[in-house]
Amino acid sequence: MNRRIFVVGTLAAAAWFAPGPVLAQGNVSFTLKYGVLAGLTGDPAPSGQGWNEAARLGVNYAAETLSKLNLPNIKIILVDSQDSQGNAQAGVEAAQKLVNIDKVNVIVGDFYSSVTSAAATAVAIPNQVVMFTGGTSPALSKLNTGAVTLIWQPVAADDLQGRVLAQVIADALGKTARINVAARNDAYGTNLSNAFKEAWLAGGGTIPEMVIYNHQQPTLDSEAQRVAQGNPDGWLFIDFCPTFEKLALPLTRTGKWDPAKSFGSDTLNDCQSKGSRNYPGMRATQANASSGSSFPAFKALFEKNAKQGVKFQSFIAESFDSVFIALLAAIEAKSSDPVKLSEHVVNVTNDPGEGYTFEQLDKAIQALLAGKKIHFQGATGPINFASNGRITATSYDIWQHKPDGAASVVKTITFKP
Amino acid sequence: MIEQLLQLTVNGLIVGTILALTGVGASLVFGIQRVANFAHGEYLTFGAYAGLILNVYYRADLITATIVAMAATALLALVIHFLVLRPLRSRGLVAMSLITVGIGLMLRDVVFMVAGPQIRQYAIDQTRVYDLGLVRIAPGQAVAICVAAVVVPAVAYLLARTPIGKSMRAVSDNRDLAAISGIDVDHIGTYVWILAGALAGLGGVMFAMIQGTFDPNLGYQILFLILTSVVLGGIGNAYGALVAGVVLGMVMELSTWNGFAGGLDARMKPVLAFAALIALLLWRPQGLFGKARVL
Repeated sequence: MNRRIFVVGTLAAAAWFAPGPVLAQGNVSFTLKYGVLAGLTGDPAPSGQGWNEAARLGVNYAAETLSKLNLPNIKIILVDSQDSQGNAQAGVEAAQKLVNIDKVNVIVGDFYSSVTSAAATAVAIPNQVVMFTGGTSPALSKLNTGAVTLIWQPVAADDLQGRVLAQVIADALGKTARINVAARNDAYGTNLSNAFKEAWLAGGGTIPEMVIYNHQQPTLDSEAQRVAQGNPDGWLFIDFCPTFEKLALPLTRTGKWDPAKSFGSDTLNDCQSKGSRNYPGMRATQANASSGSSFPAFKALFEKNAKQGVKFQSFIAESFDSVFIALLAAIEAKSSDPVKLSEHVVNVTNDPGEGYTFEQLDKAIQALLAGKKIHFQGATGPINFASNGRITATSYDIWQHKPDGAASVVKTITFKP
Repeated sequence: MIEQLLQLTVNGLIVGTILALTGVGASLVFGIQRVANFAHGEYLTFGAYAGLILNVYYRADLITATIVAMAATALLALVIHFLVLRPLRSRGLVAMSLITVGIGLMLRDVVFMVAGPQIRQYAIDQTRVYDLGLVRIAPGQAVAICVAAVVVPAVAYLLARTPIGKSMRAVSDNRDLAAISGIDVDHIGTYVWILAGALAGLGGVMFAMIQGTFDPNLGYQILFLILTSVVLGGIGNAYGALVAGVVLGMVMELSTWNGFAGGLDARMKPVLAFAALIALLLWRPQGLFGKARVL
């Protein structure tokens, strides 16, 4: 009896003091280095700081999970966050620092298409480094001309958004409505306005005035005159909140503009939350970046752990998701080599396979190490990356500015390309 | 179409008078100090934020805020003059101008760091509109028109009739001759920085009001239009800058009028300004009112 008690006690003690479960890592051993590229100062800072924080939280969360799983041979590090200042030249210099000095495997950013395009062309693609961009220009995924896809867009591209805007406006004002379009003169504004124009004209609508304006001009009064003229049935605006405000005020002065007949691009969904002003009645579409079941958990994690003063914005979930996609792809590839990792991105973000969110990251890693197929479900949604670097899950929120100045989602639609 | 023409004329006059006021200071600085001040735009930004602090945070009325902004910007211009530009003035035109580029970048970054990148606006209802029949103007524009109606003639009077204004023009025209005739050119140099700073402060507040909202890029966005009006008017010529500023503002706005073969694409407004500058300089290298000189 005593002997039995001794044996059981010894075994229990051994179990108590034994290290955590050591997973069968096989030959999986790598260090995955991330770098963040975002506008951390100047105009893009409010969004850039959030983007950076989301990536940092993702890396910390993943590192803790690896530690809990006792996988010392798999390391994940956020090496550096570089400031692109929202302009292409600074973005290229920042990306060069990340790639050539910090030797990162994965760049999370930039969320400006112009910066991503320059940094991808000049730095990431020649050096074979993976980029997860927040840029929405359809031209970005077309940069993937090599055998391997290196540029990944975890957000719906603007050619899709242009068609969604056309559908939403047609539903509200009729297919043959006369719509004046005003867009900022940059890659985002011109690409999206052209995508909308193509879809709108094909559907039977007309565009009496298409005003592409230099948002950095001191005043936009003459542009506003143009946008308001021609007695249109509605308006479409493609701009960012601070510069849209510069156009909206002179538009109000024309006495001809009706925000209730106006639609905006994804960046105008809620200007009040970005320190600007909402115009009651105005609507905007936004690719649903919060449709994932784990979005509330991500938001809670952000609000608990992000640096003080950095505001939460739903689009930063793309940055957060990108960290996990890269890690899981690397584990499946058994390598942090960007080319090998890239070959597994589609695999870990599509069916078939058990679905896991970041909250079940430990189980997802265990499944991959056990040789099972998984489907990572992001905070943004199911992701479903295609081999060209684009996501194929396409639900869109329709936002509306309220009379009290706030904005909220009034409808979510599914768009089938 | 007439309605649009009138509205564009009013808009052009407003922008033009601000360019004129700020251009006068920049032009005199060049004429007297031989400095192409590329930090001038940041002086406007500084003035706009000084006015904002008074108007929004200390709830001062717009007139008080504007006067304090003018005084603060004049003080800034003086401090930079005494601490940086005067000790380095023997370094030559190119070096001095490059130094002002650096000063401008530093000032902008300081404003970014202190005030943040978010957009700001004065405590006036920007959505209110005065409907004058064929023309509609906002409160900020109305204030800008009133201020310009007072300040432009005042500046013109200062330059034409007062001893200090005459001395400024004399030094700007020929520094050596002015010195020989007994004008204290160093003192005039100090006064011109005060005038340029005060007008830049005023211009900053006015631009912030007519834009409705602004951020630390305010001055940078209009710097080259100010310098264009300086060159168009004839470098160093205060009256030239006054006229050129108004003309530039009017031409840029009116070029988009539908009556001109459908109007110029709004994107082309700055292109038009610089094309006009190049064409004028090819025809008249000294500008509209300037005298030919060797720098």
